[in-house]
Amino acid sequence: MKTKVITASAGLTRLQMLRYPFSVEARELSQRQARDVETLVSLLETSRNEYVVEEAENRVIAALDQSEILTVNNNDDRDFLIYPTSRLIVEKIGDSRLKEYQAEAESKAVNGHLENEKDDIVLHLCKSAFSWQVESTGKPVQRASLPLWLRTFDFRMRFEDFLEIAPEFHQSPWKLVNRYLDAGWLPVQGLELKRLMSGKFKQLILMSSLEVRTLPARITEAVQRVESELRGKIKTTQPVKITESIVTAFPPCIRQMHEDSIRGKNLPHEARFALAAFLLKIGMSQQEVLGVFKSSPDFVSSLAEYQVRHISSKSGGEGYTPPGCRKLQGNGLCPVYQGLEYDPLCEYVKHPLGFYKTRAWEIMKGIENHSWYASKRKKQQSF
Amino acid sequence: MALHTQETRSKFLQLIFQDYYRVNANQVDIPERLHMREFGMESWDYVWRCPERRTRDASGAEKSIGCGQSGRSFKKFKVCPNCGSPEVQMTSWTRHLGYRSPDALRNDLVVSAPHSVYHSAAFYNIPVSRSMDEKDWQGAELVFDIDADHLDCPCSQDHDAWRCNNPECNEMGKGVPAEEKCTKCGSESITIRRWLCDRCLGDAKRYTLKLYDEFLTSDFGFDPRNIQLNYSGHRGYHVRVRDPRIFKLDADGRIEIVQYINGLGFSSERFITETSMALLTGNIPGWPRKLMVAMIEFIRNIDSYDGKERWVEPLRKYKTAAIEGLLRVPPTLRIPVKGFLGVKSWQEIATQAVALYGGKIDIPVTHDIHRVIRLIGSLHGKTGFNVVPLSRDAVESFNPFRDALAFTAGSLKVRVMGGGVEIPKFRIGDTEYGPYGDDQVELPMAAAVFILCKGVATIE
Repeated sequence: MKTKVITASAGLTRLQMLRYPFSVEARELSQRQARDVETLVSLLETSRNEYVVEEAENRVIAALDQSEILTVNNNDDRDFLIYPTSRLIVEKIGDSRLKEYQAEAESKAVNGHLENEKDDIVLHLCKSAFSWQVESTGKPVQRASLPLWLRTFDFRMRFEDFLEIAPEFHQSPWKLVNRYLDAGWLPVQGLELKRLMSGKFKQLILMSSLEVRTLPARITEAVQRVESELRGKIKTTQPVKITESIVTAFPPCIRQMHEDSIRGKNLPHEARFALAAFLLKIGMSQQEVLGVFKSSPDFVSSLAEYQVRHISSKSGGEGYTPPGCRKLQGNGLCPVYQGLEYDPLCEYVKHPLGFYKTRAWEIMKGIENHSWYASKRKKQQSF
Repeated sequence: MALHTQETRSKFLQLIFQDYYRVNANQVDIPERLHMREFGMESWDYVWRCPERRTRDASGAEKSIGCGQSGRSFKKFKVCPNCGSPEVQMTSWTRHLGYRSPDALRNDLVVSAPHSVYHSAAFYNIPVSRSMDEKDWQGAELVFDIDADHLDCPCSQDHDAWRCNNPECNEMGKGVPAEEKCTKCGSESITIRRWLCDRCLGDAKRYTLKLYDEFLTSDFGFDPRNIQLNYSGHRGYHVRVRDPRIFKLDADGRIEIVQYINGLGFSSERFITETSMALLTGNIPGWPRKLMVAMIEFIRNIDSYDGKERWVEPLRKYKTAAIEGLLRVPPTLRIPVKGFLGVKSWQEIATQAVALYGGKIDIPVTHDIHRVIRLIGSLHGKTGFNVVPLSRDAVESFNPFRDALAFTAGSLKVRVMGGGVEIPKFRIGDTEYGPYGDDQVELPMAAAVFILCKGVATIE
């Protein structure tokens, strides 16, 4: 297939628009054909648009297989409907893991394309698609007068924009405290900026949701095929059923709070909440949880009961979810983050409940060697 | 304290707060986009509610607990006044309040004269909704709380006091015991009575100015016109940043800001190496710019550092030489002493130095995007002081014990309850009062209201 490149008014080529579905230009082109989900659905009903559904299905399957997402360019404006249709399929299925696969694969593809992109296109995308304030720091020659540390940075950006995405990445160079922040701007390298951009695209996918009503047969079939693929791919891993709470499976943070509370130490509000929500989530009864707080110096049984009941009754009885690692770290409640304790599993989870499920399973299976984390799990954070 | 004296005191304080608001309601700050803010009030009295539920007793017979009644009371009770159920619930908090107009807020303050009044730093579409999801968060100001509670001020050993909650011990003492444990029985369950003085408020002021000068207006580049400072009314200061660019920042982004300011998570190994020291001169933005100053300050105060790292002793011994090395251009880590500290030690020193040099802001206040913050211009129920708005320069000369007084007319006879640990001295205006044991004293109104609010006196 020969690719005819049409230059768009804003400076993006047709191919670039197809590669960056989040760009204003690509969105405009797809919206010109289908201004909302309903119009898109009715367009997909007609047999002459069958190839769009087919390519969209391929796109989702590629995401699920963690293989490369290919840019389809038939030199036909309907090409711009493929990405929205693939989103439609994923939203219809409504499986959060599938959505995560899609977001990851789409963002990876974008990152790959951005790698070879010229600076002016990168700047244009940041500005028009994300409303980020990013500037070039000039050619290397112009940077020669800067302190050595700053010469390798190609761009500078506003810290607010940086913070939209950087906290998702846990390595220390992404922490604001390790950046050269000056008057609200911070220097970023080209590769870093591109990582932030693809991260932003991922976030946009994860945070968006489409109201999908009934779909025409053509697309329903695609949905069914993807669903069966999904079932094969992701073995439904039932979370470990917790019959009794295993204190030895507590993550270091919860273990600390639990011990402190039982010894009658006055816990800060955030710790009490985290502990109560955690214990309730792993299946302790309200009475048992109250028992943990009994020795607290300011224990008022009626008030504590009310609070524990409140925590457990949120969202129709599902209860509040305890805070995740980042929040606990921010509150100074993570002993691993503070360097006081260490557990290898902490690097592979983002949430104390995730730690608990895995450790409880290990305990039940009698697994004492933890070296399997590195080969079977994705690292979530490092300390 | 007998219940009726507690009741008299609360009623009295509510009445004089009411008098204050009647005259000064127009002094109260009206937060921007008032109709999008959630308000919360702490009242002088309690709302009690006795929940009714069915349960089974030990023999398995069904029985009912509670009567379903509710009411208000200045007294706090352990069992329902109506049916004697121990499950009665009491709270002095009302949240999810909203006001459509400044007058509605002012009128409510006059009518209810609360102990404390707060509003959300956040903007909501439906601020009065009881669930956070329904409130529909639209963004939030960036707020900071600098409170003496988090500053480890040495004066707390002079004016704070504690009592052991172990009924068989009941030990009391001055200051705050090590690790907040009872010094006699070792119980970790103690009650601490916090006090305030010029020194701890001075520390809070210093950190507030540091936050403003070294972080908010320089590194973060916020426009001073978008920064509102105020005295908290008790042991510290608040800072609100009203730059619309940060309104949408989520909790994770705010945590990064807090950690930046507090100097947490600094990777010293990136900046402190054998070869990098020469590069740490000149104007390198961010923490590297502060690094040398932070390290010098840290080493200068190394004698009061209580860590046990291997480098502490040598650093104490060769303090002067180490500081001289860092002050050189370019700085050096080498000290003319054999077998001195290696690079790894220096990296640890830098990490500690940065964390100590950093701001001391109360972390959850900043990252909790649903948090409420005290209304400027209102009264603080733990002191009777005014929550005073301040400019950057006004902070320097501000003296809460003189400039935040709300009640300046008349005098009042009060009974001070020094009990086991006497009430430390305090200053109101230019006069110093106390220390007091169990005393009856006639005090000018501001001083009397202060100790009544602190809960250490009753009305004669």
